[in-house]
Amino acid sequence: MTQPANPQTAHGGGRVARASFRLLCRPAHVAVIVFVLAAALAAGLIGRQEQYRLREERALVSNLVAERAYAIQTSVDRVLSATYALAAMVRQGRGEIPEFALTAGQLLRFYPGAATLQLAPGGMVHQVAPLQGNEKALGYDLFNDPQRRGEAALARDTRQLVLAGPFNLFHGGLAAAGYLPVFLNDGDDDEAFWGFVIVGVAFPEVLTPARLGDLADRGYAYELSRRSPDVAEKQVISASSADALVDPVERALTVPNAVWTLSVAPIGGWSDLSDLVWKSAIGLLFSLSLAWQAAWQARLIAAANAQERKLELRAAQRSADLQRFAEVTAHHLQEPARRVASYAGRLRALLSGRVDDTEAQQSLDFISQQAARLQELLHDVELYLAADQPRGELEACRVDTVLSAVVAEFTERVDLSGAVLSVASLPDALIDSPRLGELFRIALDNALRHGRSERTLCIDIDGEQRGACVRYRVSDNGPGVEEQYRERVFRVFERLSSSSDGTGVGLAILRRVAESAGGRAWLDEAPGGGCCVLIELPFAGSPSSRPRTEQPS
Amino acid sequence: MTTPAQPFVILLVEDEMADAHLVKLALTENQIPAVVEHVLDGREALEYLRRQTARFAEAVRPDLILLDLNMPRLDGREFLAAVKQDAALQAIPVVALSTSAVERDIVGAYRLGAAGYITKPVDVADFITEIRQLTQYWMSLVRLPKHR
Repeated sequence: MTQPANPQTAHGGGRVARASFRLLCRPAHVAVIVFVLAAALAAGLIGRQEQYRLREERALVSNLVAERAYAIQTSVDRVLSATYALAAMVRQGRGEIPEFALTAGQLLRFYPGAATLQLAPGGMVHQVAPLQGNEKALGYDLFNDPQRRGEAALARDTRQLVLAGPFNLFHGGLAAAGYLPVFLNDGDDDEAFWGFVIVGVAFPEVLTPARLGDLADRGYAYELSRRSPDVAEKQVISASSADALVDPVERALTVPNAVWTLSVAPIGGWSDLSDLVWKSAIGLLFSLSLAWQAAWQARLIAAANAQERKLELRAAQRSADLQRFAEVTAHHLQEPARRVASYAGRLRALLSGRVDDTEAQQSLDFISQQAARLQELLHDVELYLAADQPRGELEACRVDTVLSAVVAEFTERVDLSGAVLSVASLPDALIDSPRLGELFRIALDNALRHGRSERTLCIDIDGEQRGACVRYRVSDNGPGVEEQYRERVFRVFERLSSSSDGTGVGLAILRRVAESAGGRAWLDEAPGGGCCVLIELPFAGSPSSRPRTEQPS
Repeated sequence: MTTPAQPFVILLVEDEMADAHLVKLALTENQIPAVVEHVLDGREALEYLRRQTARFAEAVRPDLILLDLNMPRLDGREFLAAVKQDAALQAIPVVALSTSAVERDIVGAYRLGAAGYITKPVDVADFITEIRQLTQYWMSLVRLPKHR
């Protein structure tokens, strides 16, 4: 048989959860919580998007810088490479280049960034092309110039091309020069330092391939600078403006004897303030809108909850009214029923011996019987209605004491029926004593009333603790109750036989008592095939296993 | 014990004439020398006890009140509460007469100060016996205040 759900467990914690939910559902609370969450979410999204945009922009600028730096390096290398051609000619001519001016002039056409080509035997400029405008360079001794002496010596000693400068010219502008030392074979397989071939690097022409001016048009500021080994401070070679760049993307270019750095940053800085303001405004609007919607929903939920509470109250009120109505009705019907029975009895006594009419006597008997039956029914209805109300303090009932008293009440009936009653020691339950007694009274009455058969009636009362509950069993060895009727018999006025006495309210009262005490009650088949009434109640916390005692009736 | 000059007075508070008749019948059948003053509800009973209306100007303070619980206007419970809160009346013993055998009604009556609770039996003969025992107890066995 399927056992009914435990009502106590089914209701557990629901009220607390509902109260917390109601508190959380206050519209103002919900609006603030949702606004804070939505604003945090929007700020997070905007922040992440800004980070992503910055990363993308820096990647774009980085590509741009790499491309332009490569163009500068290629251009400088190309200009400087003119010295190798000139050095080859010097070595070919054993220190002399016939028609230098003509040859150099032709070479310069292939090196757009080169301003001059010079020959400086022993470090002193001897020839320069084009001569026009560069006459002052003739006779310039590199080793005697304190500013250039170091670079000249470095080139000679390392036999490497050295880029000197850029340096500021007297007449304004910038210039740089590539010094390539030339060594000539003196015939003994030894090479002797001959001097330098020099290429003058024209600024800003050498930077033209990098199209740096184009960067400003695209909204970027740039700066090309260098740190030379002999000059600690940074020297700006070219810049879009005198202002310092904000967190620029930098790329280093390696030129002979120095490292140049190309730095690029957006003119207005990396942050797009207008974009941020716009996105923040959208985020704020989104948060406010969500908060408003949530508050609206919460208001609807609160209204629904209020309506639900109102309905619950109304239902409780209606239930209480119905209960009261039923109680009053039962009580008020008792009185006329009793009076009918009383006066019928009185009439019978008065007429006794005076009226010899069988039908009149029989009619009076029926009136008395039916009035008594009506009283019995009303009495049981009253008991049923009162069954869910404790009749004393809720306490840890000494079940053995209560059961002994009930058993004592039944001694005469048990004796008359010839039944054998066996009572085990039972664990205590949490319920008021009068109603616990009522449970056993009904179960015992049920066994005595319906457990009769050809065999000697044996009634066993036992039970045990099961977790937080105690389970009591009142079993008999009678005919039992068919499974299909085991739930039905708990209905009010439900009887399985018209011949059986009783009102059919007993088991309904039993279940109402058990459930209202936080337990349950149901029927099952007893081990011997009879009926077993099972009652489960909250455990009161006393030892569950005690020795079983046989009590002959 | 009462003296012949002061007959034992029972105030019967009962709205149902059929039940009042049974009480009077029981007293008559038992030949109990008590004076029965019958009022129909709690309000009339209070008026009687407090001599509040011309009808009850000469009312005699009862030795015992037999009280039905279910009555119109002021029912038995309300009447009982009013009597027990009234310093001048609270010494009068009140016995509840009711059809109900429900524990809650019985406990409720005692909590309100009832001196006894009788469930009206169905059988008239039983009822007559109960009334005889009851009146014997209150008229002969217990000592009641003399002051009226």
